Amino acid sequence: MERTGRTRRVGITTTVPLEPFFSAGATPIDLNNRFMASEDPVRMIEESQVKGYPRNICTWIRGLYTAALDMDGVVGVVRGDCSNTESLLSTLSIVGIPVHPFSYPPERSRDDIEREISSLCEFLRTDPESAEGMADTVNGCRSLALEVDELRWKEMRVKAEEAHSVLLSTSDLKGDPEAWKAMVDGIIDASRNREGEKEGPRLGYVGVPPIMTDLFPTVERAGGNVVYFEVQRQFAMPEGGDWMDRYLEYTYPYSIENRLRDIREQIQKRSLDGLVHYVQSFCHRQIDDIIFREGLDIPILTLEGNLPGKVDSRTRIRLEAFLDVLGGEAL
Amino acid sequence: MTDRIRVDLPEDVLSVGVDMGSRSTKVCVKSQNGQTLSMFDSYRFISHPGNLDIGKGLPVVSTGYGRDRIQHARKVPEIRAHTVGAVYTLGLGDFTLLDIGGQDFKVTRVENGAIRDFHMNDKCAAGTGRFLEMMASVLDMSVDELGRFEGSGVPLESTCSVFTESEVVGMMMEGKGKEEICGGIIQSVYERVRPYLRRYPLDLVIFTGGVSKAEGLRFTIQRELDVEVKVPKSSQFMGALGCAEIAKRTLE
Repeated sequence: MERTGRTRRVGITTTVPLEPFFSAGATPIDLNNRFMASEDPVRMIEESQVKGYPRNICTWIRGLYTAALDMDGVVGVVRGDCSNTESLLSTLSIVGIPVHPFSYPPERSRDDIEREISSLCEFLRTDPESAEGMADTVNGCRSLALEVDELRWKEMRVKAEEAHSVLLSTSDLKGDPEAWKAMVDGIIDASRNREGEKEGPRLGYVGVPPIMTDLFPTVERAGGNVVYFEVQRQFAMPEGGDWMDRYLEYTYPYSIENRLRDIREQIQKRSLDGLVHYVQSFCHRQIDDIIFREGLDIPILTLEGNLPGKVDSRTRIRLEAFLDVLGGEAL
Repeated sequence: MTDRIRVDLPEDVLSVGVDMGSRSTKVCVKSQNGQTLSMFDSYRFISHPGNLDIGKGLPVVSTGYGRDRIQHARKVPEIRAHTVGAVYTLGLGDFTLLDIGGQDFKVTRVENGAIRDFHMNDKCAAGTGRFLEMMASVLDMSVDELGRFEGSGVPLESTCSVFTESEVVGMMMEGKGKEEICGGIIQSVYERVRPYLRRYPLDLVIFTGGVSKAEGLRFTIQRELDVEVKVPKSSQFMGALGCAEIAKRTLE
């Protein structure tokens, strides 16, 4: 990597340990958010196809490819998220971008995660001891995001979209923990004067973040309240332990049993009436739908998304029908 | 489908139900003397402005893709509209409702007169009315004629309606007979909906929507799954009937 310090922009494909980035003075950039926030995400997908990416590969991977092209380096999670990331890294590598594969260890052992983090530190040109020095900063931000989550499900004083965005953005803290913290403080302050909302079924959202840009406001308009954001909340590492342990407690990259346990707990705690399981077209996680339906005793609506954009009418019809059934009004 | 594009309301009208689907719009008008049903091409229906504030001042309920276009109407989700229509028309409590429309299909499980679960097809027109229309046009026959064939032989293997068209043309080039090609087309539609039906008890299937007119498909489901398949009278109007019924109840 040629650039140094904060000017060194390193793309990430999903949540990875952030402490090494900040101790190395590198700016982590979640490529998913960069792709979605770009002026024309559909165009970014097309660019990957021009390079030869197949049309029937998950849209996230195709968008991530284009979003990564001007990065100074990319850290991709090749175990525990999406195997397509391996090929994504290879195709970035051949155009000269330094890449690093990160694996959440399938055995979920402390030794393995330490080894992975050390190797990540080496790539970023820092070491685990220096990285630990950033643990309080990162942890402080995550706690603040979890506070927003509580303001959502306990008091309903922040909107679903706000809670979703804040939790989601803990993946890279927008590259700047201080600025991120100021933004979230603003959201918390603004919520103080608001009335708590409101009637309607309480929903949980499980699965990867949606590619639709207005899913949460759409659910709200249809009369549903999303008060649980499974994977987004996991990005904020809700469980305790030292900074490395948190990456073992993080449920998403490991066995689905851990996710089920977390979801079951939250269904009870947050008094949920139903779940929306979001799946991305062409993603292996669509298969997990079977496990959720078998293992969770709650009505589930599965929604599938492909391209970025607003919620389409087919999805809206499903959503409204689901809320109607949950509402329990007699036929 | 009628050539008229205006909905006429009788003097003694009680309520109106509108199911604006992707291809056709179904309207049910309830009056003191019974009910009248009519169907329009959705595009033509929308282009007649009077239709969009149909029944102003009356109880009006709408559903379907175009439900928001009907002014003054209470909007209800499709699954509710169709299920109320079927329960009200047939007076049954336990069944699986299979509705195949112009561009999607829905499978709803009803138990004790309440919706227990529902599934809709994934983002793909295969196995829907639009698919049959395309195939009929390639074979230069009417949809009604195509729908009389029972599923047989090897289903067409393409997973996409557009590619299936090329496959059918290929079969014609190879000199395959109409019987074989049409049997394969109906078999593909059946195989498309089969996994959705098999999720629920195979006690009774109520088959509705435009595609329920395809008798051959009904026989195929019945034969292959060993389940009774009933196509109610006015099977294309379940959504509209349900809406008119929901609207009428607001008077009670």
